[in-house]
Amino acid sequence: MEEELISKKDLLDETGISYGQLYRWKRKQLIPEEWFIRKSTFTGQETFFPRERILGRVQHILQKKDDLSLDELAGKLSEPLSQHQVILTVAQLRERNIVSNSSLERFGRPDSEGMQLTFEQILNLFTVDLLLSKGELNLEEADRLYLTLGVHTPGFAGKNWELFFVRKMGVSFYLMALSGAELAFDEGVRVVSRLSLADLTEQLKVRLS
Amino acid sequence: MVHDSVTRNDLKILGTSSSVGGYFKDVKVTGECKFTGDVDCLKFSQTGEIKVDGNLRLQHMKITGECEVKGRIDGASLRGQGQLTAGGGLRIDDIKLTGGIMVTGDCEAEELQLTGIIEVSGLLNAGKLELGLFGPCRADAVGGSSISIKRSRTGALLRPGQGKKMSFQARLIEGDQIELQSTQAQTVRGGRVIIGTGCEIDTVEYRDTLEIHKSATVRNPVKLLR
Repeated sequence: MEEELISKKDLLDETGISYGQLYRWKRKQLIPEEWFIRKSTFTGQETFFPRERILGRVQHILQKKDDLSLDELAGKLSEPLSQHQVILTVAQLRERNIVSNSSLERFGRPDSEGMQLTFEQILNLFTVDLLLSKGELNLEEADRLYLTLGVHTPGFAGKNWELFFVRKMGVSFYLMALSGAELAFDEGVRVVSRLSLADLTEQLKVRLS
Repeated sequence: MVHDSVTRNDLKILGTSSSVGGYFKDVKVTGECKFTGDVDCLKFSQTGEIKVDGNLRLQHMKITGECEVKGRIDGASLRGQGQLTAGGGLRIDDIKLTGGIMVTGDCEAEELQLTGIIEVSGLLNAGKLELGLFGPCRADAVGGSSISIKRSRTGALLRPGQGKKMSFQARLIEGDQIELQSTQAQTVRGGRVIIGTGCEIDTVEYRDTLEIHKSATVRNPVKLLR
């Protein structure tokens, strides 16, 4: 799954921000270093960004920057997971449509509408739900993902991880690695999905707020 | 950015000495000093020569002389005359310096005013950048809101005939307002761009205005449409 990229010039055109703003946000670490992707083009080296993520981030900053200082915003964006003190019940998740009904029924144990979930637990549900709704998993695979996340995310101890969902010859499996790792697969392998904790957290935070 | 949970004491050094580093309130060095580890302090003033084998983190820094840091430098302000070397990046909000800044990695500042020379292996990123060139300077890329790179007048008076050596070289310069002199660059991109004397630029992409001095060369000026 190659992520679509956007060049710096197009980003500025589409969002109407200036070089000054972009470089200021980079200095304030509002835009992560990994998003600046250098590529050679026929005009020399150019900088590209992951399209969806950068557009989302720019909108987010533009919306919030009147209420918060850039430093406060940077703090918000880079808060480690343990600081998310969000606890919601299964019923609330359903009500606010954060996780779809069918996922909740499968994973949320229907007898426990009032059960409280921590941010980490919500994130696991949200991740599974996201992939299911994209139609990239079948239900059995979703079960397995939910288990994998539950078992392995604590082991990363708040460090940023990435999840790879790959398929070969009809067999699928999950792989979790520290963020930024370059993984290489053999030829017949298809990477169906690649998700990072940082992106998932951000998407979920937007839903929650 | 500064730890509050540690007790901080002053450190004063006269003459030649060394220290393992650590957390300090004020560090004052007159003479030579070598720190073999990280230094974290509120105020750092020096006259003479300093070497730090680790990282340097501080609020205010005043230098007269040389300061060489193997790791990265983080701070709020820098004033003085002298040469500052950072081996692992530099980020100081407010810089006013006469002398030299050498950075391996990126050099970041909200406001950077420098008369002298600067060498940055990565990105020179400053909200407001004012450079008075005193010798050969370079950076891989320069980015910011307002960028002004000019030859230092005093430099030209003090060292007549050396004008050729006072130059700035970069692969890429990007900013909202850009004013350049004696600069060689592959690409300059900006809103309002003024290309002054002695510049050699391959491509200039501008949105609002472009002025080119008659002694400057711009091979490929491109106006971008909104």
